Amino acid sequence: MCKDCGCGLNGLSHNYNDHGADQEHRHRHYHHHREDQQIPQDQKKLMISLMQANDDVAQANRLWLRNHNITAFNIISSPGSGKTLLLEKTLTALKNNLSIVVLVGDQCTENDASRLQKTGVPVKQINTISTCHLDAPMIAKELEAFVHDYEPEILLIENVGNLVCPASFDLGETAKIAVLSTTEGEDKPQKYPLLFREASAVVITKMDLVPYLDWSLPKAIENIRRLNSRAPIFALSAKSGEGTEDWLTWLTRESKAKVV
Amino acid sequence: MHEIKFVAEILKNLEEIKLINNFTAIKSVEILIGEFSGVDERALVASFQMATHDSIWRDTELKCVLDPLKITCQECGKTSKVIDFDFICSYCKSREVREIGGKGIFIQSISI
Repeated sequence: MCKDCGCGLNGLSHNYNDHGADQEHRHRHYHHHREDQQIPQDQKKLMISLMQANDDVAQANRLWLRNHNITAFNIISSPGSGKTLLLEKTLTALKNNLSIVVLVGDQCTENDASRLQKTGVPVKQINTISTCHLDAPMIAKELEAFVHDYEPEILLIENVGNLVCPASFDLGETAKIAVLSTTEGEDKPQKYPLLFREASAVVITKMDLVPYLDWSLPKAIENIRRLNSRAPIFALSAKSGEGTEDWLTWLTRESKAKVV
Repeated sequence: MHEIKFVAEILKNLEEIKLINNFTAIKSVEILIGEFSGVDERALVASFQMATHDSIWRDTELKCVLDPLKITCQECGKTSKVIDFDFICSYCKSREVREIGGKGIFIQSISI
C-alpha cells in the first residue's frame, strides 16, 4: 500500500491524474515490488513506470551525492558540439579553486578521458558499448568505486553525444546542462525539446565561428526561451575564451549553493 | 527511443503479474505513453510484435494511449495544452508554467 495516498488496498482503484502536477509523488508511487502487483479480481488498473528500475537507482545516486556534499552536472549535447573542449577549459580554470571529478561516457575509446586527464583532474571513462546514453546504474557503480576517493565538490558527467536518450535517463544529477554549438543551427531546441526544457543551463559553444555562419544568437535564444524561460544561457567560445567567465562564475556559484 | 528495452520491461512485468495473481492469460496490456517521453508508439508496437510473435505472449494485445503534455500556469493557475512545444500559458501568456503529465511511459492497465 502506498503510504502517500493509500492506493493498493484491495478494491481501491487509483487514477494517477489524482496527483496532478506532483511529479515527485508520482515517481515514488509506482513500485516494482511484488506486493504492488497483486491485483484484486475486479481491479485491473495499474500504473507501473517502465523507467522505475533506472529511476530508483537515480534517486539513490541523488541521495548519495547529497550526503557527500557533491554537486553533479550532467552535460548533454550532440556529438561534436565542443563538450570536451568546454570541459578542458572549465577544468583548467577551476581546478585550483574547486575539487572536481569527471566521468565521461562514450560508446568506445578513452579518447575524451585521456584529453581531460591532462588537466590534472581525476577523470574516469565509462564505455557504454551498445548503449547510446549513460544510465543511473553506470553512475552508481562509479560513485563508491571512483568518485568517493576524491571527495570532490563537483562531479561533472560528460554524457554520450546524443540529444535524445540522455535527456530521458535520470542519473541522479543535481542539474542537466544542455550544450549547443553554433554550427548546429538555431532550431536544435525545437527538434529536441525535452533536453532544452529540462536543462538548468544552456551553453552555446563555438561563438568564434559566427562570422562564418548564417546563424543568429537572438533567434537561438528565442528558440530556447520557447521551451525554457529560466535557464541561464551562456554564449561562449571555449577556443578563444570569450564569454567563458559567466559560465565559470555560474558553475562555481551553483556548486557552492548545492541547490540548482 | 529504446522501445525494445521497454518491451522487455513490459514482458517482465506481465510475467510477474501473471504469476502473482495466478492468471491463466493476459488478454491485453495498455501502455500510457507521455507525449514528451520520446517513445514512439509505432516502434513500441512493432517491437512488441517482434518480441512476442513466437512466445506465450503472442496473443496478448498491446494498446497504447497518449498522455498529452499539459501545463499549469504559475501566474493565473489555469491549465492549457502545449502546442509545438511552446511552453506558454494560453490564457495569460506567462512562461512561468509547470508540466502536468506527458512524461514517462507506464503500464496503465491490463485485461484478463
